[in-house]
Amino acid sequence: MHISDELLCYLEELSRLSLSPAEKEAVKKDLSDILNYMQQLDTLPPEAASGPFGSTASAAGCNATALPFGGLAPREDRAAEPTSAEDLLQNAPDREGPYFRVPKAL
Amino acid sequence: MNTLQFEQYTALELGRLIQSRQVSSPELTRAFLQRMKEGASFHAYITETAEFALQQAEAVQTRLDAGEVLSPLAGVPAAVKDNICTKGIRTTAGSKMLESFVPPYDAAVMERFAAAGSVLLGKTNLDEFAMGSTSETSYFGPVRNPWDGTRSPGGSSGGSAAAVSGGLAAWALGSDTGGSVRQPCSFCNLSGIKPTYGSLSRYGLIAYASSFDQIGTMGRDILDAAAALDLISEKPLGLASVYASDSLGNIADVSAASASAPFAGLRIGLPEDWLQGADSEVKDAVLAAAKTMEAAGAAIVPLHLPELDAAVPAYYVIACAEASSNLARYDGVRYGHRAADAKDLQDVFVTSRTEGFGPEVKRRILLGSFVLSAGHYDAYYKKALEARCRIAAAFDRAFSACDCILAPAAPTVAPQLTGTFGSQNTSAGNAASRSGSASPQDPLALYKADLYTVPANLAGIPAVSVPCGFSAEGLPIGLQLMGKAWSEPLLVRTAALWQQLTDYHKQRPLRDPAQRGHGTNAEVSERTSAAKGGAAK
Repeated sequence: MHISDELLCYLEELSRLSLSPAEKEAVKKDLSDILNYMQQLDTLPPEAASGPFGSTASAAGCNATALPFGGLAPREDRAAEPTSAEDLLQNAPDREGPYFRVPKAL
Repeated sequence: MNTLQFEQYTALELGRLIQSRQVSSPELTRAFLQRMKEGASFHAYITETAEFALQQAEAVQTRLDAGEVLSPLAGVPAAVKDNICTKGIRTTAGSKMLESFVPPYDAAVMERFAAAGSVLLGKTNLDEFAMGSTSETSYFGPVRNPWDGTRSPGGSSGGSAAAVSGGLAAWALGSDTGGSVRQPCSFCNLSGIKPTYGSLSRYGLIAYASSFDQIGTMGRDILDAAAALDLISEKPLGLASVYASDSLGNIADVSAASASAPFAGLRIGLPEDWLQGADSEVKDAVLAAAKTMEAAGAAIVPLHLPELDAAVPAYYVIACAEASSNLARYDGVRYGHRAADAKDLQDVFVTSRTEGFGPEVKRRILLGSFVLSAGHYDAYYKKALEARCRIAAAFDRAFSACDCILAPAAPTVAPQLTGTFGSQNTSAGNAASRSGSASPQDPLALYKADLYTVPANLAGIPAVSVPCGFSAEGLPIGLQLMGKAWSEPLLVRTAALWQQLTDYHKQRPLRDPAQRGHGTNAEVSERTSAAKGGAAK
């Protein structure tokens, strides 16, 4: 997978990051190496490979959008005291009264 | 008891000494705080909480003196990885982004920690946002392995591992997204448990990859790790019968089992093909362990698990995808680092993130953005989810033929500190790490070294890591036991029986690491002091 300058710019935009020219070159190489390695996922057989447990079991039962494990019941909801606005604002980089303050958006 | 002796005890033994009034929790806490000063060069802690620890120790001693029945580890000082939120105590996740973040709430496990009468010595160093396997991506500088100060303790829970291994804490909490509890245990001769995914609340664990993130425990032996896990669990995992009983009994409750064959009835799966990915010393130690278990009555079941070949690429696709999404919250607005002179709101987002994140975190966010982007989603992310399903299905089939699977925890012993990630977040550091011809470690090589740990995270199954030997250089080697979901009692009992048969876990690093070349690596020393200067504690 070749990472072009345009593609990297797009990824920086999606990621809200801005790389220096030196970083860009290094990242292009790293991402390219890593994605090439990840492409082996494309070569996986459609059926699970055979093993000592037989080749009849397939990945067909897998739902790729669900987590692969069962038996996890969600925790019960329970009421809790919310963290106070004042406590949350303690970590604000900038504030004005009960608000977070940021530079002009427009 | 003087300060030299307490390191010889396990956390459960220390708990019993407290219960029997042979030592008080404040005395023990002061002894550990003293040891933390002596062991400061390991750089295991980012934030030490001496005053808070002594307050907690006094409070738990009062409760115990009043006759309250608490955890067997009540009053025993512990360390907590710095990606677990602690109310009123700075929690950095090893990142400049959260350098001055003080959580207004406790993680769910910390509520349990306090209720059980535990004592918090401090918050331990880690790879930035737990992304790494050498504890070198920390903004606060790398951690040193107490077994050899020129080597990494592993990661990402490297600070927790160095703390327990070096006697700077009796036990510790870590987190395991792709092996971050098990691999450092292997490198530091500790015992650790990554429990079943979802068994502990993730509330207050700073998110990296949510479908893998799992808090785990680290101790000097498996019983300590089990007692610690019980302490922070909302629901009993059935471990007390193992660590609190005088006799471990036999594993499978088979009448044929006896003192001479404690493993009788246990079927241990051994994927020999898969073991070929490990260094010969590691492979030999794990195969020797299998022989020992077989001689003690276990049945060794050969396994062939080719599905696991896809584990590392599948893991990194999914983990990076989830990381890019989870870390979108760091926008410089509500908490975390804010760029000083951003000109507009977009600039606040971009510049704060660019300044606040280190190179490895940026790399994973960019990768995650790529695999989730239109046009690449099907080829990477969807394929990775399918591979994950295949791996989970392969484990399901394997566990119909065996009770647990034996493997290494890591393919090597602890690696040398490289300097690749040190002094990051500075332009000089980046230039140095990129231009340095002196073994710049390539990120892909580090990813590939996670081959033995990521499968359990992909499948959500529990796994433990325990010592099983030493390399020719005297460095610890760990083995891993994986079981089906909720099989923690079986894994812990198996590991405990292993530790009755062997004494690898009883070996400790030399108290004075200078004897192992600590500080002889000028480059690393320089980097550590530079990083410490920049830590602004």
